[in-house]
Amino acid sequence: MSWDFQTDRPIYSQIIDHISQKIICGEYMPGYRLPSVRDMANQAGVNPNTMQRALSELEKTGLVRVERTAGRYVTEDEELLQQTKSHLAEKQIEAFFNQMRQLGVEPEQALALAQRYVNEKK
Amino acid sequence: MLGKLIKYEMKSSARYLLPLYVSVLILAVVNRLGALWLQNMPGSSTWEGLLMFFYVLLSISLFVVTGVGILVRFYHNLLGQEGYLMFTLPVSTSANLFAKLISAIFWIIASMLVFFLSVLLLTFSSTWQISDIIDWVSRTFSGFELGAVFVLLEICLLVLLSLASFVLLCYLSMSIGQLANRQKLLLSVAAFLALQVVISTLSVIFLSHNAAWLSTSISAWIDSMSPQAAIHGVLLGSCLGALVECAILYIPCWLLLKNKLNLS
Amino acid sequence: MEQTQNGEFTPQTVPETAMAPVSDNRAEESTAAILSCKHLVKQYGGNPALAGVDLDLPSGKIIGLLGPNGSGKTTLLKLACGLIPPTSGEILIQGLRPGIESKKIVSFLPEKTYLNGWMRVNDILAMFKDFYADFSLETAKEMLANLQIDERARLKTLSKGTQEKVQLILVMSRRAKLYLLDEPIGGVDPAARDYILRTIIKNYNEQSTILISTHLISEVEQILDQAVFLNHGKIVVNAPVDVLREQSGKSLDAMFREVFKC
Repeated sequence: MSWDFQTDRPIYSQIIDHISQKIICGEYMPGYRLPSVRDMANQAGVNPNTMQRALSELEKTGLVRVERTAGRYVTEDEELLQQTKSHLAEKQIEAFFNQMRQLGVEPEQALALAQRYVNEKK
Repeated sequence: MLGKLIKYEMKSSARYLLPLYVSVLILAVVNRLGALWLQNMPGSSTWEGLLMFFYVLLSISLFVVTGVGILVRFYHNLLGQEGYLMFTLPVSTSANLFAKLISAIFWIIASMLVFFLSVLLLTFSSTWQISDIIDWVSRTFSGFELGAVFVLLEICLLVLLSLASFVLLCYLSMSIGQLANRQKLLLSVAAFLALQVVISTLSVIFLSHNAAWLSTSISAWIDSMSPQAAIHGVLLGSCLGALVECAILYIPCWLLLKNKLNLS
Repeated sequence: MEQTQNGEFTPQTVPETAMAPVSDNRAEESTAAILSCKHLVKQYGGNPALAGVDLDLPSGKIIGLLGPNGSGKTTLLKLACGLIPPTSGEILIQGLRPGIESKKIVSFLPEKTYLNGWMRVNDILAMFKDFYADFSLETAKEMLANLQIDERARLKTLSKGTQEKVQLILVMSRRAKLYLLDEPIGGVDPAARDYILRTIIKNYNEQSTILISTHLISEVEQILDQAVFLNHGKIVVNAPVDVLREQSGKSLDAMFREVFKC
């Protein structure tokens, strides 16, 4: 029972995405102490080296911070979390509009359809 | 490490040899008791015959199983799939070879002792007394000097070395046989026969060329000594010869296992 | 093979993307290689099973030795185990020639079972403890207990899958420097495969290297750090796996099929 990975893209970047997602949506709460590299690698079903690399990259983004002897913690920086959330959301929106364009639906049309969808759901 | 290898080797062989040895001894006792109790009962001869038949059968299988077991152990454990374990253990090739050889000689001697013991049990008479045995022992050995004990030891050594050389001959044949990718058994048997032929041929050639020289020098040498010393000389000389034969068989066997191991 | 204008040879079948520079490993050249081969050649009669292999494997990695049947993978493993001598060239395990000392730090898992079926599991545990100073009895017992394998059972009575797990447990319970696994997940059901891969990951440590020889690439590629492709006794690819994926946009499995297209 490991995380789902696609093997045609580097695994470490997929791990980064996976963990970022969990942080953004709150599954990993701000200030949450991440399990050890080995435990996380075991959970994910990947090589500890790969997990190590992914976590190092995450540290660079600031989503994860390291306290030398204590371990790795999810950042409590609300602003950063919001920024990252917006950024990821924007990427999804971009992907949505690209998909629509492929169906032959122009952005304004797509926006209108989206609004209608939201109204109906209320 | 050699000790450990020998330990595991003995354990593995004991698993199928000990039950056999014990059965032979038990059957010998059963035969003896049967002879005593069924003596005057009608139809006893058929029972006795049957018991004796099984005893003889088991005794023959005693030697056959010991012999075949030695060969199979070597083949299976070193040249078969188990070879992947045995040759990746942190032990030398010679340790592996010696463990098998020592174990083989042990079981050959053990089988002979068990047979001897079974014969004693078979013919055991309640009229025998410990004092009789002690008498017999002291009578047989009283006429002997110290030298006789040594002669006995030398004979034992000669027997051991001869056994070793035969076992090594079998091991070498199998080591040659494993070089083939198919029909390893066939090649082993062929190698065995070929080696026998080569050894006999070489002995004949050696002796025929040097017969005169050897007999004169040996008889001169013997004449120069007392009879007892001569006996020692001949026995030790034969031991040396057997040792050389062992070495000549051991070395190629060792080389083949070290450099040409052909595990599937 | 085609000859360029400089006189260099490039194998035609290897896509350029696969000839990735081994950038990550350059930095680690300072640490001694666990396995080092220099112009390693092994010939059987007229056939070269290994036709000149140059390889330096660092410690602390899980490395895949990948190639079709007959590519020389098993020969390379046998040489590293000290089962056969090289025809020419050199192979060193942590600087040691294959021999008794190297066997102490190498743990080998062959493709088929190499244990005596009549032995009980605890007999084999005792035997490994006897011969290998780095064998951890507690680790082995723990793993056996997790799988609910009866220690008193004779190997013969266990299913094939369970026998293979026992062998894997024995091999991975050693604190060796180099683990050589020959087709560890071949012929095993998916659940067992999962267990085997997890056991391999769990036993990874920075001081040792795990070399997995297999042709079932899609199953193991997720856990590999580095991939070494072997074909006709020569190395055609040797690079970190993520680098290969980034450069080619393909999975290792897809790349393998391309490189070894008949």
